[in-house]
Amino acid sequence: MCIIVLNYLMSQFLEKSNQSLDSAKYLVKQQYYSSTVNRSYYACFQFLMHILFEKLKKDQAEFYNEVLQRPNGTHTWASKLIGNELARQNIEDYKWFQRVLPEFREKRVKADYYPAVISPDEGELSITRAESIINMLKVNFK
Amino acid sequence: MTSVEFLKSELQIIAHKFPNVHIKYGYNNIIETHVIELLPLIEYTNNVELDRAWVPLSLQFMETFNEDVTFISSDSSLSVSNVIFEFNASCTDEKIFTEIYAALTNEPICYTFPVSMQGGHLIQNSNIDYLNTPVENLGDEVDYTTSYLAAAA
Repeated sequence: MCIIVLNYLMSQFLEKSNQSLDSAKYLVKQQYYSSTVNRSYYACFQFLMHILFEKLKKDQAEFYNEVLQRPNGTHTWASKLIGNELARQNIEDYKWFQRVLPEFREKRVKADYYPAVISPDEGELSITRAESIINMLKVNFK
Repeated sequence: MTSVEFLKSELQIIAHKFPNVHIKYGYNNIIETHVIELLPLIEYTNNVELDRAWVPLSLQFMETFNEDVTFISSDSSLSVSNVIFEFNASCTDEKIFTEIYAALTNEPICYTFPVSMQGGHLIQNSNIDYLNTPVENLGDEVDYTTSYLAAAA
């Protein structure tokens, strides 16, 4: 029973990521494109956290303590730790990851905080991009 | 040494090693990330030695300064609109194109044109009036054998 509860807790980021991606797919059908970008981006970020804690076995308390000591916050620190590991495993995927995640982050910030209109294509593309990043991480961190 | 000074110093070394690569540096305030653009795209995509130069630098930079950096090329949605510094700036696409094709422009290009074409014949020293003349009436003016010499501009 304890193991089941522990597994349930440990997979929370995976579940959050799946729900965010499902939400993005629902939102794009409703033509809520800015929100689609937001949920797609967070599906990626939550999957990064899942990899970090589930696959790389990073201690959660240690992680959040490290974040507090740095200026750039959770997203930057998580992507940096994943990037380090990726560079060791697959240089081509690291090259792609270190470029595509900041691109996605900029799109998300613009969608949330800027008056820029997000097009249907950008909404669809954000889902595709999230799925690409998640799939790449699944391949590299089995 | 600040993070920008560090990048400037390290990128200068890379620029010296790869004189055909144009390196632009800027800072993206929206995502608070140092952005380094490597041009042309083909070098960024295919030059393995270039990868070996910048990938360790990107990792070392984030480890040392706890700041974000990304290396991009011309296909990225993140562009360096406000260039803070750059190296090998004269190494533009036009320059590369010119270097590749310059040799061709110094040599005449010999080409034998076909002497016949669908619906008529090629006529030497022709003017527009000949186009209305039936070919059987042209006699010796039709040249079936001439090779033409064209020089590249």
